Amino acid sequence: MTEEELRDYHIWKFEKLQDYLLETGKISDPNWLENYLRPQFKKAMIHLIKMSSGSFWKQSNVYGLFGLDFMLDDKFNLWFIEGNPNPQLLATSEFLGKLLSELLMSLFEIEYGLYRSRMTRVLEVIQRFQRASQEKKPLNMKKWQEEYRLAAFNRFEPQFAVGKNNSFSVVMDESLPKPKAYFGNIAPECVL
Amino acid sequence: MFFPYAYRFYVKNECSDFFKKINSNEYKASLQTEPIQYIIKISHGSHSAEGVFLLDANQTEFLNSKYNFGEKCGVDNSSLIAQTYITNPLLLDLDNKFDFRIYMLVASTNPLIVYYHDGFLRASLSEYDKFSQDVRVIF
Repeated sequence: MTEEELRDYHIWKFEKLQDYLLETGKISDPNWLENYLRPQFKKAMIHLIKMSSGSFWKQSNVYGLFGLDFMLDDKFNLWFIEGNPNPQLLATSEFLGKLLSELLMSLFEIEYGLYRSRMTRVLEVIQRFQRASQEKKPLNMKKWQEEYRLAAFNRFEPQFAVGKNNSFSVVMDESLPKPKAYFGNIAPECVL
Repeated sequence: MFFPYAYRFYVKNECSDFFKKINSNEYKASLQTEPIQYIIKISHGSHSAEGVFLLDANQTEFLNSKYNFGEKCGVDNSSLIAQTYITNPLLLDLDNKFDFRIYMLVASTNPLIVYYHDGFLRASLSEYDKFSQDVRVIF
């Protein structure tokens, strides 16, 4: 193979793997990616998050992108190999360029949606606080702190919800009541 | 279920268990059929396979001397882990190995909001043979 052919061979789309596995008869479900592989990734992600979220910085303006590596064994068991913070986003081929620019645009849509939702709520609290502080009555600061805390607690306001074309898919959202928060990605009996 | 069994060298009893294991007769005998059983990694701050090596005879000798056959567990707190090596990977059309890279966005930590994004497969350019002595083949 030429250098260019090697580079193109080295990186596969998920669809290419599914086609290869179907052609060789290793799988029979034409929707294997959607029915098996992606749900397995999502389930593993919930386990990873639940194992490590104790050490996360719980602040409304904190987010992080991770690159996770997995392998399949010949019995189709999925194995988590490692997780990397700040993954390299380098477009070394046309396919990767498209994938990563889609990923970044979608990431901005999500973070910007959460930010604008939060700011809408926080501004509303500030405006009410300003009015209350002009009334020359003693302020109940405990109550205002609690109002601020609730306003800063992230969730999407309907006008800033994530669009249909966003290339991320939600795995868990603990602003929603359980078990809905996990979108069926783990068995209901696992939801505490 | 998703996690290959691993020993953390900086946790004294896990480190001791690991050296007991790799110096046991059972383990030594099993090398006949499974020559590589562990992959050693730096647990933090490693990228692009830096600081990753397979536990072959040379590396076993190196670790045994670094940790004095486990005597220095709890003294030497290097951030290493030994992860069970996947000896039976699914192979592609060239009988080559591959791994998946996917993306996880922790969109919020207050509360936790997490997203999944498709990534890609990285296919090895050499045929996999677990008995090979060539690290480029078995890595």
